[in-house]
Amino acid sequence: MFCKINSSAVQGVDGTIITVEADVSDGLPMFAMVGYLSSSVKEAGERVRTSLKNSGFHMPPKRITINLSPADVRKDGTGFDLPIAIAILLCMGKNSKLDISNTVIVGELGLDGCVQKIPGILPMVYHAAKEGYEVCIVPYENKKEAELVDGIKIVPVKNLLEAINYISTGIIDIPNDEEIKDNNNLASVDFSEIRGQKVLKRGMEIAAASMFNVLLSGAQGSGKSMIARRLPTILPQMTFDESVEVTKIYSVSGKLDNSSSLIMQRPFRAPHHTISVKGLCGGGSIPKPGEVSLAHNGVLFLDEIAEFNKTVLEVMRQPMEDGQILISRVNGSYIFPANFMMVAAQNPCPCGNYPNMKKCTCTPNEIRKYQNKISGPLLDRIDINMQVEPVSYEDIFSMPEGEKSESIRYRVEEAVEIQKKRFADEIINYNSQLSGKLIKKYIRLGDKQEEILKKSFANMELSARGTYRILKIARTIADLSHNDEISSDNIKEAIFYRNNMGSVKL
Amino acid sequence: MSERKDILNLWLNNLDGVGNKAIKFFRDNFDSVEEIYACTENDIKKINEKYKENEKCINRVNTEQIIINKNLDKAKRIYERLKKLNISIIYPGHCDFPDKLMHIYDTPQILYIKGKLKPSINDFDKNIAIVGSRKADLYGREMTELFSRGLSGNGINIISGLAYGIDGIAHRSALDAGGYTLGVLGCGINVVYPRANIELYARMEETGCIISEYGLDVSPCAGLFPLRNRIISGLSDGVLVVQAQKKSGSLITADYALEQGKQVYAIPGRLYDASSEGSNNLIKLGAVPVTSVEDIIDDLNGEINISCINDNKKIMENESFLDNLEMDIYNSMSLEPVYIEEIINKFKISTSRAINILFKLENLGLIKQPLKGYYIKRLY
Repeated sequence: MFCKINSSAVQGVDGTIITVEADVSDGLPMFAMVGYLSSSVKEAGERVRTSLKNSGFHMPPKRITINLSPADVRKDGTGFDLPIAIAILLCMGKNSKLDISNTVIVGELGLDGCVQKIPGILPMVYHAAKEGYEVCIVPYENKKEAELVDGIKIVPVKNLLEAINYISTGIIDIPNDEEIKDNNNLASVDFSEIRGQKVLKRGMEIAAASMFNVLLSGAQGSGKSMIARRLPTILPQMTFDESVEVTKIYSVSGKLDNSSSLIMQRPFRAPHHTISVKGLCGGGSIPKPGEVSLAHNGVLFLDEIAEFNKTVLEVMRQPMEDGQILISRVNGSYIFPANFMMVAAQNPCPCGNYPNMKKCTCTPNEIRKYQNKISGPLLDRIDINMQVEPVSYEDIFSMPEGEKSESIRYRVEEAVEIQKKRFADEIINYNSQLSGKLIKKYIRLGDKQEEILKKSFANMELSARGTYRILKIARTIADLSHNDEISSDNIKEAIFYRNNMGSVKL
Repeated sequence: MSERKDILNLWLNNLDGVGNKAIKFFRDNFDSVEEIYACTENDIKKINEKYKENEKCINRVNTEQIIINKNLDKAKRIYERLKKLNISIIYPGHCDFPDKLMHIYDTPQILYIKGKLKPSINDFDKNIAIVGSRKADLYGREMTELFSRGLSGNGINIISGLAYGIDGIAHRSALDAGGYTLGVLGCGINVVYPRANIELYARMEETGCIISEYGLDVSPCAGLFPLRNRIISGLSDGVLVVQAQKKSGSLITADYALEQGKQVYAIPGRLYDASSEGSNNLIKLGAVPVTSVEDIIDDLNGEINISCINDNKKIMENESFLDNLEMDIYNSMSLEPVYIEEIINKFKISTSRAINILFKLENLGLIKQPLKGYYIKRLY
């Protein structure tokens, strides 16, 4: 007898429908699975057989064939256990009361018949709903995640018997939700902890308001990491769509814990500098998202950027420009979103004391080499450059507490609102995403401002790209103060923050 | 004819094992390079007899090379390459060869030249060598720029060694001030070392001059750099040591200068400041301490062109554009870099206001940012 069940798999960050076909016929007893399977899928056979037995079902000594179609897509993961088991049971004559042609089933089986959670539920359910399926049977532990999608009925199951029960009777006993703590609000840090550093904080505020890339450079202990780690507390709230995008990525990488529903907080990723190209960009024979994608709509913090492998840094150039990364492998190309805000921190030289020559023990060449580790093209993509000066003793103890993150964030949110209104007709959200053509359309300068920029262009030996960046920053500064026009003060401040004077002249 | 002379000089200077001393010996004993080329064993014997009991006898190897190796192919090849690279050569006896170098110990026997060697560098022009640490701090940098600009503005040529730090700043400031500057290399004339100075090399070739006693492709090695210092001091009327550590190459230049009877000037640094220990020691040993450009010009008996040094007038004019706060901020600055944060806290102003005022002052040329966010008073 033959039976067909819909299941789903993840490709990149998107779900795709996979059909599980089972056939039980007479012949020599055997269990065969076909359909371009990875080894984790092939192992499903053993799990299914054992969990069927332990759930009280008897496997007849028959010829069982399983096919996962389309056969040309490579299948990976353990989510096919449950649909295979159900397909076999249906073939063996278990009758189904429901029409299961509009149902998608995913889940991994344990040997005792329990259904375990799998990664990537959100994109699978999201895709199923989009394709018009009406019901989705998912592991109970993935319930929260699956319920984020509107327009599809979620049936969470704890074990195989529950799933079979539901299919044969249409009844499912969903226990009341235990109160799940929303730990999205993990703001245990606050901007007010940073004493002094007004220039730096202002720079961070500007950066947060338009997701500008930032480079902090300064001696050890000057507070580079401290301020970077507090950045998420002033970033604007994610919109629902942004949240879904981020949650999808985390779902695919299996980084959502049971309790978490939608990710509301912007991601903050701080990979260690020993990270590999694949770790940063994503990869593997079946590509998984890397840090640039995990930082999507959030912050990618590269502490000690000079210590990163140079090739690793260079691969970020393209995603920084396009907001996504395309990874091609033998079995297909995958696009991962990677629209992140880069915050990099570095020491000015190997010993960390340059330009204090009395303390610095490095040779001019060492300093050059150290600073040249960030290539020109990458440096060019950094909007805001800031020098971080260690806080003095008086500042630590006598300075009043700084402004709270909350009030900074309020200003940031307002600026974001203004930008959204401005770009209502465009596909972009922030000033930082303006391209050359759009800059001409949205940013206009008065004669006086034009004059200032012109003068600086010559003095600072700016590039065209550099000038555009100044314009974008100036626009954001104006937005922060609710100015329609960019004032001279705005442009001067933008020039100050953009100007990169940190490099050595030897 | 002069092409022939050039080729013969290139031949003489590119023989294996024949050094400056040997060449000088030959030049002293023969009238021209043609005669040296034509010399035979007999001639050598005659000369040897002349010096018989004298220690000045020529080393056997050297004479052998000059007698045996009469092949000009290599020299011709070098000549062609130099022509392509736009490099000229001068040597003792050449009309452009600086007379000043004839009177120093170990006169270079050939000099390769890129750019334009100003003929007046020889006689009526005053030349000052500005030397100092490769790892100068901000004070050293500012002083170098102040003196190099001031001296250039007064028509004094600046000579240095095209290295990192003080050298490079001295050249750059002289070029910026529209003066003439000459760099002496410690490596082959077509070798750019340090690599980072490549833009400076290009500027020097255009309006200044680069010379080296080392031919094509000689790679930089530690031993050659102290030697070129004798040419730096030899060409100058005085050597200004801006900032030198206890053991610094600039002290070698100062030594050469003393040997050659040139004046040594030093800019005093703070006591117990390691980066000025060498220059302070020089003052203790008798170098002339200088605190202004005028000090040097006075010492050289030159006329002072006030307008080049004294920018006070310009600043005074600008001051009328400044309001009280701006004036106060400007007056609070010194050569010690102040971080913008300190200004904000001291004057209790907002970040954007501070950025604004500093931007204005910087644009007026009153202050400058040696490093992002740090400000110092501008001296020139």
